[in-house]
Amino acid sequence: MSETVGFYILAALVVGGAAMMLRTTNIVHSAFYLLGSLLATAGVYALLSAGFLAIMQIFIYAGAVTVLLLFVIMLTGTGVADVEAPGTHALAAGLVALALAAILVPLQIRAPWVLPKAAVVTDTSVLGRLLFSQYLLPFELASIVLLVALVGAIFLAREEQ
Amino acid sequence: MELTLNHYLTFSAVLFCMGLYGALSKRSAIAVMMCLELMANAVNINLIALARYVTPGTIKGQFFAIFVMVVAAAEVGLGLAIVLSIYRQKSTIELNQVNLMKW
Repeated sequence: MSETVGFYILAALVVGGAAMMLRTTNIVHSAFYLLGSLLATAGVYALLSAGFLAIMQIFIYAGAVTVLLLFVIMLTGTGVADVEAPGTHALAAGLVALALAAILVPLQIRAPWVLPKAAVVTDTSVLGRLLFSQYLLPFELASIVLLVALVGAIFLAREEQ
Repeated sequence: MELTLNHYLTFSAVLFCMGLYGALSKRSAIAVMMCLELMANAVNINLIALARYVTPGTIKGQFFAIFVMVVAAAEVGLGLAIVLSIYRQKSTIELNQVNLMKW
């Protein structure tokens, strides 16, 4: 019961943060609403007994991504002026998003799942062991992806000589 | 009322559609990237909820979520570098002003 209450509170925070992020025209406010939304998502992960991912969510999204977004907002100087309100194409975008929601939401509400009754793994050491044994190859590939992204980002963002 | 997988999946579908709306309607490139993060987030909620309910013994979905996070971090880093270099060339990050590939 308390789990359900927690879920509804966190879901309201995530969706509310996202809605405010879409609504506001000041991009700095937008970034902070996104931060709130991402932090509440970490709470949802914790509720799903994924402790490691909840911490990672705070480190990577709340820590790194939001700070990076704010830095670029400052560097491009768009923080001082309000961004333009969405134009006429926003109507089309809204229709596309609503159509997708109209398909997805009823499906997800009614989807009949046959679920196993096993106890959920909450131990992070299980995750770590699997990551370094069964998922070792994707793990190493992920490090190469990050390295290439790092080099590419430095190359693209440096000043022209 | 019991909390079920369907709650999480519905929630993530709503979040994904909100992100989609933002990504299609926003003009500022940075705002579009923020909405992409929101969509990646919705996908991660989906994956972790499925890991919790469908494979509770092996938590497979959590590994997918970890790799989605890695790719999202790489994406935002590269994307913002591209935004910066567009800003240097055109002094704007409004996406309807960026028409380098239009002919």
